[in-house]
Amino acid sequence: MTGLRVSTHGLVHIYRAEGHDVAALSGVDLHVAPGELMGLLGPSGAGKSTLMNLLAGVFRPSAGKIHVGDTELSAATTREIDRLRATEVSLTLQGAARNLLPYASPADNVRFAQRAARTTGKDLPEPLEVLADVGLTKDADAPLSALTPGELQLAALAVALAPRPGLLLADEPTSQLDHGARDRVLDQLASVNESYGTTVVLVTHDPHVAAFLPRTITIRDGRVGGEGRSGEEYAVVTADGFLPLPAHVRDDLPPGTLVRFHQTDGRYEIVPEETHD
Amino acid sequence: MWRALGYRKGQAAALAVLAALVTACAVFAPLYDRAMQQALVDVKLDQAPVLDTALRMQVQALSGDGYVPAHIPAPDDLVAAVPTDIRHDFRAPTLGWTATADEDPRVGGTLAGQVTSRTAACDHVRIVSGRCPAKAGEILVSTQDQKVLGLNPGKSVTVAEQPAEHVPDGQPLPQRELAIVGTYAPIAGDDWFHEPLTGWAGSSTETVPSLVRHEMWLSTDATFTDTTTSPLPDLRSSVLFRLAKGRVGIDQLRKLTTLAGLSGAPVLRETTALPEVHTGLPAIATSVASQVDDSRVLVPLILLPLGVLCLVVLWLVLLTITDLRRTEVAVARLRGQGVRGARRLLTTELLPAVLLGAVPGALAALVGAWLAARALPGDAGLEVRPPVWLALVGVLLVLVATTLVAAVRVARTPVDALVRRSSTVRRGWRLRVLDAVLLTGCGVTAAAFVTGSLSGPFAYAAPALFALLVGLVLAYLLTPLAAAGGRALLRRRATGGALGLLDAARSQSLRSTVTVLTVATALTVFSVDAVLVADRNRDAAARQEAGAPAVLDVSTTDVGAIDEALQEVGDPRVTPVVTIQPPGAGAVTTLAVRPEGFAKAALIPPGVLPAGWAKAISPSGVDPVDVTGRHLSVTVSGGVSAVDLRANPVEAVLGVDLVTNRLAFHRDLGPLPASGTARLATAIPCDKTCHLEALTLTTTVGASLVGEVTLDRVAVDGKPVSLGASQTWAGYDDPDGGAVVPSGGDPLTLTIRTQGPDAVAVTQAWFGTTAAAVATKGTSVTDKTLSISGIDGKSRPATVVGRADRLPGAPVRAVLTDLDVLQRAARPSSDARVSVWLGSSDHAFVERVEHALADHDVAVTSTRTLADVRRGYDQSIPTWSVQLGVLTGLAALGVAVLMLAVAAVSGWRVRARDLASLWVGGVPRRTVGRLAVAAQLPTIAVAVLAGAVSGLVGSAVSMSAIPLFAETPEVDTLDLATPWLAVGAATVVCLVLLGAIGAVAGRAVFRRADLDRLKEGA
Repeated sequence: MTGLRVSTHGLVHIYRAEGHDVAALSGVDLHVAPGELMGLLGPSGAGKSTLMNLLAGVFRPSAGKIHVGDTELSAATTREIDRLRATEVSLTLQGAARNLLPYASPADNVRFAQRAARTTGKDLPEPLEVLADVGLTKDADAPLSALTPGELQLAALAVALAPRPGLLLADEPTSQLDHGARDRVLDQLASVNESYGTTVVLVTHDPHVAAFLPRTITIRDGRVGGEGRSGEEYAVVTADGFLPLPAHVRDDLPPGTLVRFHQTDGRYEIVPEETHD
Repeated sequence: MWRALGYRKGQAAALAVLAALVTACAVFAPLYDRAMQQALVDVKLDQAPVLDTALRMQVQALSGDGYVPAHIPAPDDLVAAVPTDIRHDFRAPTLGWTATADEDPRVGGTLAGQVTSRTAACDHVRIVSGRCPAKAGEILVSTQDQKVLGLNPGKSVTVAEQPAEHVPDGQPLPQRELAIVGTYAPIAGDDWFHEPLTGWAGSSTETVPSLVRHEMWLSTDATFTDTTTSPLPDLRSSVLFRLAKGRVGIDQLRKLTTLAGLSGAPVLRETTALPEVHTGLPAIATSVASQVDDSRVLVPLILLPLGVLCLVVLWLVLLTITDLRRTEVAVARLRGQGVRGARRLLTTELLPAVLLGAVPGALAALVGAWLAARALPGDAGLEVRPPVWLALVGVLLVLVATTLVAAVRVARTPVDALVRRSSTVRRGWRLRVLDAVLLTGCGVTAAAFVTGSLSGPFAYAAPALFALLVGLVLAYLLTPLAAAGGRALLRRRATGGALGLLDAARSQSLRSTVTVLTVATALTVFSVDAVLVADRNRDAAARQEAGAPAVLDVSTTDVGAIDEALQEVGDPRVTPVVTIQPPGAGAVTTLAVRPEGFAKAALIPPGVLPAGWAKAISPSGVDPVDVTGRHLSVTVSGGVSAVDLRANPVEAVLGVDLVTNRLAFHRDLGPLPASGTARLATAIPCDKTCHLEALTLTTTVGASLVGEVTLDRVAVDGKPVSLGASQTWAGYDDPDGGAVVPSGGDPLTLTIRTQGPDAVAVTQAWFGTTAAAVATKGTSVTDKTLSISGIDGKSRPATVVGRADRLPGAPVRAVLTDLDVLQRAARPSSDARVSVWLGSSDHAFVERVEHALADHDVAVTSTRTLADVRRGYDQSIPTWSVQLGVLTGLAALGVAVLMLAVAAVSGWRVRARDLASLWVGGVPRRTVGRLAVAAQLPTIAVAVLAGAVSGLVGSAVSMSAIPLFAETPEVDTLDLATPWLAVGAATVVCLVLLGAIGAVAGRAVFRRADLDRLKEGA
């Protein structure tokens, strides 16, 4: 199993509501390497979940392109997307219960999640093996009501991993979990990423989770607002030459501020122009 | 699948119950329809006279001018003429021979009558003496023959072998001897098909005065088939098939209509004898068939609204349940299973619940139909025939299709809509296509009912359609109205009411709940209304037809004998009634009664007869002029000029009409003098008192009489007789100016001026030449007079003293008049129906009257009680169909309860979260509790009241078109007035029951409105 490469080019998504349109994403360029473990950060409403749904083929982009592995999702048919979701791309929605059949045990849920993949002839692990990957073997046949929130999230993770996908998209997989459960989920994600080379993209608000991830992308106002690598924060220049300012700089440079760029010895300086009121 | 079913047991149970109801409706309809048909057949066959349900075939030898004994088919040959499959529906045939057994009057013979042989004849009579005939020429005679005619066992009678008309006068007839071997007495019952064997011994024959009649003689077949002698005259062979009622159902009855063509069978067609086939079965089959045609439409139409209501609720529940599974559908779609996989996920969970429900539904229909069949009259059992299977398959297909459509609807939802947390349900005034179609359809159909374009059994659909129309409109109005009302109350700081209304406006199930509750209440109210109105009308029709709680028809026309018997009974609630029904469609029936007794015995609805009717038709207080003796004489003074058309003098004869024992006769006293005084006299047969009915003047046709005579010194056998005052005599008056005017009194003076009539009369007032009568409104009356039939069948004038809507026990055109007035100068003719009406049908009372009548030799030919008549109306397809409405109403109420429960179960989480939010927001817990309980009550109240109004409107429009009777009664007693008390009670029951369910559901939701609910929504 190898992870899938993910890339987006000028990705735009507009929610069409009655009376007005809302641009959730306004030209996102994103590149995720196969087998990478990365996180999407950003404030509420920034467009993280929208981006995840676009990557999973749940939403169709208003403009731009999405490549997942060799598939261009923006041009794929419904059948192709269904097949992709059955075998290669797994999305875990926020809230573990939304990913599980409530009346089925974890093992049955995994089995259910493999149903479509099985019709493609893909070699699939046994449900118990999948559950073992997330450390949920002993509760394989327990009713969901008997599981703790952390175990439920692990069960949801197991369901997402059931077809051994090349890309795992997890929306807030650690929300509403205590620290222990959170760490356990993160450990399992990392383990899967490491063991199977699955590309993992997760959305989080949690700085602890962000710190755990080798690479993070911050989405702000529908654009890639920054990137963090090994604890270091970077601003990212967009394809059309825009450079979003880091949040702490914005206070000093309010909208409308005129700046000058100075290049000195390979370094760039941003110098605000003094205005005369 | 089972785990999924078990996870949401409540929802699965709701689906199963609704599927069961839909299935039960569909399967019950053909089962009940069939049971009704069979019951109707049993009722009709039981009610019909035994001869009508039997098949009687007879061939009679024909003879021409010269007597040639005819060879006629034997009874066995007649049996063979009946197809084998039809023969199976009858009991073993009764074979017989009959012939004339007259003595030869030319040689002094005096007896005339019939001799017969029948299969096992001796088993159906009581042998009083001697033995049963065993060989040719042996006969049994009746005990009356023995007593009256002296025909004792051991004697022989010699009967003619040829009819007298075929043997020249003066020659003796060929003869045969019949040996009397015993005597018999008939046994009452159906064994002889009500053909009397006895009752005329010693009576004279109508044809030959010298002959007297003997009763039926019983003999053996050999007497008729003996080839060594000539056949007896008028030889007839016959076969009687008595219906095996237990074997005859609706299908067999249909088959028996072919009996009408049996006279064309070869054995009958080829014989030279006169064939005769009699059976009432084809007529019964036709009568049944017309009701069966109605039932095919009625039962489905009654059950259809309920079935559709159940199906609609099932659909709504499926919509709710599938919406609740959007998350699971999203799971399937996110795992790449596509629309098909998502649909499979839903159907594998929902379809088993629905199909499992069909099993108890079908069983419930079977049990229900079995119970209904037992409740119906007759031996109707449960018959699972092809229509039942067809209905079952059809309903299963409908259930599967409904489930699939509901599942596909959610399964096809785009994934992006499925993963969204917020609901996509639209609220407000957006009219859905299905609702628009329904509204239009219901509106058009309702308008068709109102304008009378739709009628007949389809009227049963009207209430449901009205209710659906009202329910849908109301459902669309309530959401914005509740929201607006809630906001208005909120502005006035009436938080409690405001939150209740806003809660109702937010409810996703508001529309469906309102619609279903409206329709269910309408069906319930309509059912109550229809059942009670139908019951009241059947009762009124039965009371009208019966006339009295019990009516005994008697064979005599001797009202005096009846009076004597009733005097013994000594009860004012029993009275004789004579009914004269002249032939012809527009004829006016006369109901001759004793007003006082009739008022106590007859079933007279209030206000039907005019006030004071009894006094108005009672005879005047004038006493009769009674004469007793043998010689009537009178002194006549004055003079009358009598001339014919040519002015030649003619006689004018004074006479009297007398009545004794209700027999009228006339006697002439003698010609009136032209002037002076004359003593006139005549013999009269009045040893027993006669009533002087009239003084008559007879002359030549066309003659003129002018003058004045005084009648004085009237005497009988020398004893003076008073003629009374002139006011007690009704003069003669004709339109051409002729008149005979009485004046004075003792002596009585007659002023005479007539021209033309050959006879005029001055009638004594006791006889009442013009009877007072109350006429029904259906009778045409000119100047308050009309011609009615007297009890002797002759027309007589009557003065109409009042009009009645109808008369008990009488047809549309009828008059009510005094029996004593009518019978003062007449006796009931043989065509008059003489009966005794009883004011109570108490069995002991009826028996007491019957015994008293029997003691006075008055035979009761039939006894009919109000219950008997009522049973006739009750045992019909329309009645059983309307009664099915009770079941429909109850079931509709049950569906409404289920709807509320389902709405509560499916929406409890959202409502509990709202209530918890209010609590957290600072609304006191108790207030939240009150809100939860009361939130649905306004909606329920509005829906129930709207449903009740819809049901009533539907009733008003449709009741006149709904068949309440199998055959419309001759006299219209239709009263479609709403039984307000019962309808009000039904509405209150709906309100209380559904309100209680709503309150209980609200309370249950409130108990779950805690902080955990809020966490769920996070």
